[in-house]
Amino acid sequence: MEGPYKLQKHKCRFVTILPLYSDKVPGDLFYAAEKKPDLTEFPYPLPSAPDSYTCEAVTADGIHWYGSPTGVTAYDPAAERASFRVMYFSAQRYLPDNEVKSMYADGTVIWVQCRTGVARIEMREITCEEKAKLLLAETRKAVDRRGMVTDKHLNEPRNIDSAVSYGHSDNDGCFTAAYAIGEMFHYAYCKREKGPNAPDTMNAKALAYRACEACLLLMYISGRGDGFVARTYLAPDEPLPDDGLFFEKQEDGTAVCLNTNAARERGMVGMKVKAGEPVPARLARLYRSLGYSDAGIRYKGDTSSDELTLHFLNMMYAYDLLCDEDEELRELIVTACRNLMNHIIDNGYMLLEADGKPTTWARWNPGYFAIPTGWADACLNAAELLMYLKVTMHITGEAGKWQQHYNKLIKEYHYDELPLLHLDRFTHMAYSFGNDCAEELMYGDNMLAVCAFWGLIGLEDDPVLKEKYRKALRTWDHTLLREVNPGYLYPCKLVCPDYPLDEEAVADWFYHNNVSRLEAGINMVRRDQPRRTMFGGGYETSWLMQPDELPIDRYDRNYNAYYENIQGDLQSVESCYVYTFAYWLGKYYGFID
Amino acid sequence: MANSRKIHLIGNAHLDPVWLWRRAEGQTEVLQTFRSALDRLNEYGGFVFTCSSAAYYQWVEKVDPEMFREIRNAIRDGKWVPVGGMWVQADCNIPSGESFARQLLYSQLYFDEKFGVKCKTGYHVDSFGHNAMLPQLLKQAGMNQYVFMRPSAEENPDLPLGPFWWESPDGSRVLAYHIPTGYGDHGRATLDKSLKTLESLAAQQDHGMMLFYGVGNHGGGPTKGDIEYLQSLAERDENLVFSDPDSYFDELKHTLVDLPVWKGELQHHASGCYSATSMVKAENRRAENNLYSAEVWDTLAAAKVNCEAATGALASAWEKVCFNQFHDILCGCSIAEAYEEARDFYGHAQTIAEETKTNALLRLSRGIDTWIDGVSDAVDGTVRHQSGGRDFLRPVVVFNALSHTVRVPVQVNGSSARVYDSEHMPVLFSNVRSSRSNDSHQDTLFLAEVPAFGYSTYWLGETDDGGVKAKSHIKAGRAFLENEYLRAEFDKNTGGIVRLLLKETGVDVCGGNTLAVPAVLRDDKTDTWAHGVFRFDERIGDMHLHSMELVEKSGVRAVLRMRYTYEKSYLSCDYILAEGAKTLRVKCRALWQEKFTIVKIPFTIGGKQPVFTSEIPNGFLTREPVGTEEPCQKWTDVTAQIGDEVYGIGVVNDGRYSCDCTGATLSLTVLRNVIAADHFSPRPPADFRYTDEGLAIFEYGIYPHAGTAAESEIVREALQCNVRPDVILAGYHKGEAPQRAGFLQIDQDNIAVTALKFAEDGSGSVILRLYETKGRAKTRVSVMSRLLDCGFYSDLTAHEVKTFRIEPNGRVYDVNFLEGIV
Repeated sequence: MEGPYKLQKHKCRFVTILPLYSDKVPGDLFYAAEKKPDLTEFPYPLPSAPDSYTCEAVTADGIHWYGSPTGVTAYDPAAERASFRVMYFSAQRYLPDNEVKSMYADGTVIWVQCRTGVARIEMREITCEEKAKLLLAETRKAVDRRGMVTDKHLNEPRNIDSAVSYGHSDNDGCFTAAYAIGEMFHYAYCKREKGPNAPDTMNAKALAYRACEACLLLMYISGRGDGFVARTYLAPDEPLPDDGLFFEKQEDGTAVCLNTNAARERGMVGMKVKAGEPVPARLARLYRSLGYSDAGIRYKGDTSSDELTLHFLNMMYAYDLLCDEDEELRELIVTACRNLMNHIIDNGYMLLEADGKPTTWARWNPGYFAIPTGWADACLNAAELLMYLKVTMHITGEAGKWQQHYNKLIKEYHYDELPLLHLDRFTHMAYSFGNDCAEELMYGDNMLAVCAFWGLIGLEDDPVLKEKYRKALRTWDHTLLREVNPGYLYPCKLVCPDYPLDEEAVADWFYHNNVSRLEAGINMVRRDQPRRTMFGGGYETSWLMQPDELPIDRYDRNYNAYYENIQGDLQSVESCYVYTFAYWLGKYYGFID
Repeated sequence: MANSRKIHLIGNAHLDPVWLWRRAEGQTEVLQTFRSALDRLNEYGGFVFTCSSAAYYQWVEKVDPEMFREIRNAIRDGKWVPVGGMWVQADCNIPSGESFARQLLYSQLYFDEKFGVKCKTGYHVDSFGHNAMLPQLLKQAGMNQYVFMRPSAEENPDLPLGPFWWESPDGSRVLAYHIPTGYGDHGRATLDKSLKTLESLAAQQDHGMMLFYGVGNHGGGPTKGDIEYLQSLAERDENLVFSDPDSYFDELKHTLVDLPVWKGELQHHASGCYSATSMVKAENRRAENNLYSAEVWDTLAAAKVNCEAATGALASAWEKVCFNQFHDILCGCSIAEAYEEARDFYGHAQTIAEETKTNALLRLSRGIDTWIDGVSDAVDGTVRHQSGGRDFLRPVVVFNALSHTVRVPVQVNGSSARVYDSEHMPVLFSNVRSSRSNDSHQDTLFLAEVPAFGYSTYWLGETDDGGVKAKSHIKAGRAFLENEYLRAEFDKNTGGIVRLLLKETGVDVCGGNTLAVPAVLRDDKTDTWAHGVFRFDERIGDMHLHSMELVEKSGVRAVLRMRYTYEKSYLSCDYILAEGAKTLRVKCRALWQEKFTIVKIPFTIGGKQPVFTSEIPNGFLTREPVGTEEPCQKWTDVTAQIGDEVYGIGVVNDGRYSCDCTGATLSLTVLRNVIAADHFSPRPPADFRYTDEGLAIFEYGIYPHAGTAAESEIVREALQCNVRPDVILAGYHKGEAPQRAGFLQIDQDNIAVTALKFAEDGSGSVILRLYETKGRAKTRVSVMSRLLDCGFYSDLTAHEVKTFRIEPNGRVYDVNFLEGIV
């Protein structure tokens, strides 16, 4: 690398939606003279039809605002970056609805009167770090649930303060781990740059520990004592969703499988499961400090490989970045890692549920790879298992059993070769369903592949294997490079020096993330965006839009997805990790400054 | 879990509609074969018949509607399976990317309209080679599987036999099946032998295979005897199933097997086919170029003046061009008589293209305001500009159908004393010798600059008003030509180029070599296809320079004429260097009479580490410079390290398709004169017809450049060599249109448009097709057109082809070759 890319202060969208007759709305908005702009010579494609714009205004920062029945277009002729020259503002995220009636410029603020309400929009200058802090604050305020962060429901639309206290995700472990890794980099960066006792460092440290511990708790909370990892857990007073296997911990050191569809299908309703292994107090305080005891805790099982891959990466970075001064944490990590790896090895490279059968998606064994559902998964799962073993060796400082299995998997089952077949098998599978790869992909697999190869290549010393794994990672180019996502690009660049990294495009990504993760949809039916029909009939956008004009995404969604209807209900908010993970990773490793 | 190792028995009839027979016989062959296939379907319960080529079905529809209904029923019942998704089994190296799009478009729409199905399997069992971009092109028509047979295992031992993943340079993949045996096995002995081979391969590769049986070439199809024999085998062996390619691929897609991956083209089989019968190749290119222009102007004119478009007629023209792309026609290996009909088909297509284009250009030009007050007063029975001594400037409108601005010399009937552009700025011009031999004998040649998809109006005057003259950089002498970019120096003994200087860098790409002296090679050891011969390197000698003469020198251009002779033949080459040109054009006229010969024009770059790159449909391909004869399209190129930098010599052409590169020497094959339709023949005495005997007129261009071929502007240079500006003598009229306008703007230099047309569904939607030309990983292109009321962006990856459907309401869809219709 030639040195960090200097991220600049940039304009960011700050929006407030108000009722039509709010006393905060300037009266001039309603009396603004209607002036139909002449956009026939406009030099760029426009989101709305050029002759459909009905009003215009110019704010003090030189931005021209054009209102239409299909939203607002902003034109900043002085913008240095092309991505800021023409911007589109649509309902729900930026407008109450898309039918613009009038606009009024008040300094650098544009007021937009729509059919059902008013929007106050300001393009405010902000740094990327300030954005990270704002996003983090929102997550801590509205999303954090005993250290776990995925998303939260809001009682009132658009009102972050109305977040309910409960809510879980199937992938709490996975998403929280990514968030935790980001915060660990945050802490490590502050510690290195500002000193261990600087206030920013101390704040970051607290957040990193909390998130890391929330993940570790999932590795202990079942109390099974066999290394089993829970997907997530619910406090006794949280509503129980019927979306998987849940086990309620009892006073007697057991847990009972609750009556859900999944439990019925699996014949596990009422099954008593061992749960007597104590949860380490340091981790249990995440719920005990809120007044909950262990009895009544309901943890979710049927855990998938997604969770475990992120847990291993979380443990690896927690071990490297947090444990120097925390022997207790080190011990918790080493034990959890060893237990989990033993579980997987002892059970034939599978994670077993309490009924002794493998969970639905946590299978890395050769037998699974030989059946239709596992054949295409084999390429990713083989890399995952090798990564788990490498991380375990790194954390425990032991080779022995782990190395033996690593060698065995390579020698006997060619787990080092399987990842090279990813594109071939994946295409094969997609075609068998009449689709193309992009239509068939589980987009969460992108993150899993990045994390698996990140850990695996980073820890592999053998140059031949390392090169092979790098080559295997590149079989994911067809999906990873379809989007611009520094959360993928930076790890890939770290372990593959020749990995393509378009720093200007990445800068645009940072600049065009908003300061809120409110699930507010946008309008994708725009004149400048052709809808693309894919091979199997699915829809995508013809060009990749910036994050502030896309639906709110995680690292498990298709950034190119096209929706005819506005997505988002305004009643949930997502965690900040999509941004903070990439940002602090980039800062820590010197990609950005 | 054990995989299925079934042998799928594919009953088919390979039908060459033209080859060693003319088209009428081919039609009869189709009718008889289809009748036979229907009869076999009625007789044998499990029998399935597979057949490609929409053109054949259309023949049956027109000639025998009752049989057509029977076929429709058989397709509905799954007994008859259309494959290929193309108008014919085309040659797969010569047609342009747009031609492939049309092959696929018209036939898939036809199959959908007539039978309610779209072909799933691309099918070129007899075509001689397959360009590297085909996987993408097939997928653009909804097909992700492909069957082919050539080259054989002997011709290309590296190519997998049976199924494999075939990947094109853009990353598209299809599941391809390389027939290991034959496309038309028949008779017990052959069937037994093939089955043994296939069973062995199935066991080795752990998946099923396909056996293609049925009498072919001149049609015929599965015989009763063969069907009954295979039935008897199938009764004893459950691994033998009567099937079709679609079913085979469905089974294979559900088989857990790691198939090999092949990236790039599938060559070589008949290396002589890309140069034999150069007439048909030149006509193919000319038709592709003219249909492109005709559709562009037809579309823009219809949108501008609200007149009816000629979409149906143009489709009919394309169908004829598509038919002539049948591999034995376009490859120049059919009997000579068959080319009379091929010419007729081109005539049909060219007539439609020419009329459509001219009408459209006249419509557009008549909307331009060219009125001059007082011009009506001057009418005295002759044309206005010549009358009354008043010297009214005459307006000429130059149209450019390309997606980039061009600056090119334009020749207009009659001489002039001054030329202005629409802003009344002086334009570089000269009077040059016209092709006619009456009146002044002179035409006006001026340097026009015309925006993309647009026009510019120029004004020509008969008297010199003494105004400022435009400046020129042209210099020329008896043995050199020079403009602001290039200087070419010629050897007085051979006529070859001994110095080709890029003035900006001062680099001479010749490096001591002599370029472009026509070489004659012997070619008497093989047949029309050049079976078994993959390089032409038996050089007899060079053509002899008869004369070298500077025939034209003006500010617009200079022309140096070389006349060569060889035995009873001659070749004249006009080297033309125009102001502002980066390509040295060479207009050639050959009268060739030498039997069993090839003529190549060699270009040796004076550098190390040569890299050989050629255009393929919708892209380019780099091959090893090892001397094998290779297909190319509008351009081919050799680059090399000269000093610390890379430089290249690109060669563009207007209708040649074959070349080789031996080390640093790139040779364009311009003539191949061997016996027509000579297929491994002992050649009993006869008055043979030869493939390239007679007059040939062609043009090529030498484009020296810095950097790699991909980084250079060779795609644009090649397009300019092919799609020429059109000139309309506008006349005087009032109008609302400005004197200069562009109707559609594309903002990236690595994007080329291959089609601008109306959708085939009559909806009024406009289709725009473009592709990425330079191999850049990511390109965001913006497309804007006030006329079409649209403005949009799209992202393209390297070598990607995209088709947009622009609705009348301005909404745009990113569709495939089938235009969002089906």
